[in-house]
Amino acid sequence: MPAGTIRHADGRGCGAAETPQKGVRRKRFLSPALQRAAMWALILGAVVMAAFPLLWTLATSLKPMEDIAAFPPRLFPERVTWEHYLDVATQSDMPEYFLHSIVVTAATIGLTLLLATPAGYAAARYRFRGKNLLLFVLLSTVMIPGTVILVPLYVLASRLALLDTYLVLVLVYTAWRVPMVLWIMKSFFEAIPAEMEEAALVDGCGRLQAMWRVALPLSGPGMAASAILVLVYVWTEFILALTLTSKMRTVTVGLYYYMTGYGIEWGRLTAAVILALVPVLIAFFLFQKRFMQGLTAGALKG
Amino acid sequence: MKKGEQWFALTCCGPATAVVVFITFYPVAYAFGLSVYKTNFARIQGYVGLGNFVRLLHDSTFLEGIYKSCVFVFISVALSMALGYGMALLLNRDLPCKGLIRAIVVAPWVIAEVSAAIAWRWLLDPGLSPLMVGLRSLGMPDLDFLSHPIWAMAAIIAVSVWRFYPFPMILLLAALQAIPKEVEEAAEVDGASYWRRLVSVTTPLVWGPMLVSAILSTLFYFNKIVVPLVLTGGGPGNATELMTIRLYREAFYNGNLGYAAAMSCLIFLVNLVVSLLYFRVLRAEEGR
Amino acid sequence: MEKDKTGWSRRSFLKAAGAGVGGVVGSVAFPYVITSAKAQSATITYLTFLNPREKGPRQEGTLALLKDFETKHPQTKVDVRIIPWAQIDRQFIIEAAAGKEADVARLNLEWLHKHVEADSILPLDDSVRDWTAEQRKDWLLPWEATVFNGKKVAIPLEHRVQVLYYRKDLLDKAGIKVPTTWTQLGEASKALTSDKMAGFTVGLSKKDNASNLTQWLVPAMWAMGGDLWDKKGRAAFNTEAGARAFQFLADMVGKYGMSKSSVNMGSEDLTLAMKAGTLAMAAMGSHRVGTVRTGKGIGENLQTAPLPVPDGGSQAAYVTGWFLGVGKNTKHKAEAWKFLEHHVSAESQILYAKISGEMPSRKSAFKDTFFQSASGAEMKSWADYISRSGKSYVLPEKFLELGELLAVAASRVVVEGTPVKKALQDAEAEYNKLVG
Repeated sequence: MPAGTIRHADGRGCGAAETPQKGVRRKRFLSPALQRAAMWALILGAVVMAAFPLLWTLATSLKPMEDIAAFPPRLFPERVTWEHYLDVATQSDMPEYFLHSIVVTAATIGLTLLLATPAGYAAARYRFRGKNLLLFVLLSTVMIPGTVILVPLYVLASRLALLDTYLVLVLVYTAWRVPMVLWIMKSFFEAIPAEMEEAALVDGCGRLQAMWRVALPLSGPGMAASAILVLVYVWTEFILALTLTSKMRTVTVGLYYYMTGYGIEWGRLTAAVILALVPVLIAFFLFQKRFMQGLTAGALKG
Repeated sequence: MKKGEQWFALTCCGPATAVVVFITFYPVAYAFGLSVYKTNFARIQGYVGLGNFVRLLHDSTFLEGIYKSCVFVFISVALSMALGYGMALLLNRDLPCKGLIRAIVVAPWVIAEVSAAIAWRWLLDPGLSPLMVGLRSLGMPDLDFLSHPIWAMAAIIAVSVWRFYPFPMILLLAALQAIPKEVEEAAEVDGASYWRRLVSVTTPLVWGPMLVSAILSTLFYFNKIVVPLVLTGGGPGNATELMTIRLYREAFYNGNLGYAAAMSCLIFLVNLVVSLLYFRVLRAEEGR
Repeated sequence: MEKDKTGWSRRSFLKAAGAGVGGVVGSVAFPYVITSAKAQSATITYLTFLNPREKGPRQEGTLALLKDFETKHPQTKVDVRIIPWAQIDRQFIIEAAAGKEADVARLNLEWLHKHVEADSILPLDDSVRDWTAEQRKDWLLPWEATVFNGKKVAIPLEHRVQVLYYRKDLLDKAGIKVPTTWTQLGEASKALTSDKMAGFTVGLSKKDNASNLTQWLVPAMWAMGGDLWDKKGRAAFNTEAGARAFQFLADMVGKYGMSKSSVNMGSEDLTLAMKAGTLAMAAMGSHRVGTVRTGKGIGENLQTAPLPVPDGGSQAAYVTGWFLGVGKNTKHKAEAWKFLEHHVSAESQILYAKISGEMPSRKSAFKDTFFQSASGAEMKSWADYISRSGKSYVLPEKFLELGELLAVAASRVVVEGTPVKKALQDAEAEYNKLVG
């Protein structure tokens, strides 16, 4: 490997600058230092672009009412107040909505894993009649997005008296996420060598036991990746929850109604937004690696 | 393939498939069934056959909505792909704090669309937003983005792209990281400049995932409803009334569920066409 | 599931499976448990948009009435559910179609015909059979106004009338008289507009059912002897009167300084702006005075006056209001009726009016001494305005769609510069297509 190229830097700092090989003329677009500066500028730009709206929301939620309405707006709150958060926690129905969101999210994660893990295992390990058809069917759910089935789902739920229940949300979310989770579990199972199960089968285990005792314990990372992806999806889903629930509102719907209720009081609204963001962001930052793993394994297909 | 295997595999897959088919496919058929009726909220008022579809073809707001959706999708996909690829290239190096940077950049995708729309609505407030300070310092008058038909559309595109471009970025980053380093280095040694390498070597190698991301993004953008609904509600006037917003308004504001079901069918057909393209590309990719 | 060690995952799979099954079972059982518990202790659900837990005159009034009801009827518990006012009617209709609507709900008289059509509310004839003629005449609106197909379907809870909100202190400082015609209104608006203050604004947005715009246009058309819709429910606004009304909107922006941001504003935004002291005048329902007066430095500086009329037009008052409806599928009919009866009694209306600033719907309530006092005199003046210039009306079936089309037309005229005639023509064509 030629020494001195940037790509071989260790993870910490930049490597030595590129040195041209003797006898090779190279056209430089920009000097390496400028290139690096430009690159960092772009990265910084992306980071600021990503974070600024959220930081501004956070800042607003910590300012007292007068400061919010002041012009010119100040980026950092001069005085920090928690009154908006207290308002949201005690005077609104948001805590109830949090409860609904938590229940629906937990139930969906559980049900999705329950349904999709064995299916992913079978798809990874076995060739069986109908497998390609099955996989194609699951893949083709991508062409049926929420907006298309919103109206029929609403009418169906209405007819089945399932409107405004946990059950209807859990069922629909599960159905929507099973294809992705199945694909994720399938790729994780495929990465586990089959020899151990085959050994177990030879030893007299049934197929179910082989899956249960041998493969499943090794699929933790896959399940973690699926769980975090399902969590993010269900917690943040809006349009279906808006349509199908009234009293059993989830957090996202609660935010919307907070906004369209009696005029917009930005202090309280931003506080509510931050409160709704926090669980998802925390889960995401903690389990980032799993999240990315899951995405690349399943996202192309789901 | 033993017989017992077949049975076992089908049992494993059965419940999942059943749930998916019943809750995802059946409603589509149901929508077609519903679209032949005239309804008032959830009550059926009469059979109109293809009447709803005929009405749709003459509904100028809906037809405009399709046009607006196309504009929205085209610009958004172009921007997301450009930004996604650009960021993927930037992040495909050894950088300090790479994980943190990546996490922050991806964060907008993780938060709820409602939260993003509310945060941006606040940021675009004509009176009190720091953006206005920026505009003023450039000598421009305060702009109320959301009350101007063109700027409102720009706003929903910007917010949607802001939120969504991490998706192609992640996919392209994974694809870039799959390129063996030797390939890049060989090109470098041969004396190619950065841009030359990018165009002739790197990009063709990630062309497959790029195409897949683009088509998936198209699919997703056609069905975006939350950001426009919360940010502009279809306004000002009808400037940002995408076909999805029109659907929602017709179904749950005006209560015409049968008519809305007909709209759903049309939107489904749009999705079908794009998805078929997607399957084609996927198959070609897998063939490689 | 969070640990990387593979040994954990089987346990976590079990946990996940357990959670899944538990979640499914729980989500089925949980609501049943709640509803059966409620059925036993006679709890009625009350759907409203005023949250008794929040601050504000109308919210506090709601709380006071609820407390009063629970004192008088201790066996009945009331479970309050909140939906924003622009969505409450359609939410109620949607839920009624699924059989899950609230027992009693605060619904908009503007939606009454839709409720009747959707069969979402219970006719009240049984309960009012014993009412005397005197009781039936005791209402600001005629008794027959809420009788559909021979059935009495609603009893109004309160009324509001569109009035001009204005800042007396600002007008006095600028030496302007309270405007009574559109020209005066425009001039006053121009004089009061500054960097920090908007003069007069009409909310042209289609959000919230385009209510601020329709509530401005309806009395405007009446004042000119016209109407937005004709007896058959077809468009009647593509006339000279309609053109004048829309031209005024264009002039407000072009000549009199109204901001183009008005295309995104509704009544809520105008209320907030007046409360914050950044808006000098607006046309809104009389019920919001209490809320606006809580703004810092506002208080009695806010006054109301009859709506300015187009030059040469006559006075016309647009009365709207809310009623309490009993859900068609209610299982607590007796308790729901008691709730309704309590809330529309003269005593309750007086109590509520004192706290909230919302006008009673019963004539006998106005006999209370409160309305002779300084604070009640304002409400009395609204009631007089209604008796002088109020007009009874029947809304067309496609009222919602009409509002939306008018908002789009207004937006085109104001923001895109579309000629008034064209915008009205297009809106008329679209609307008549809908009506068929």
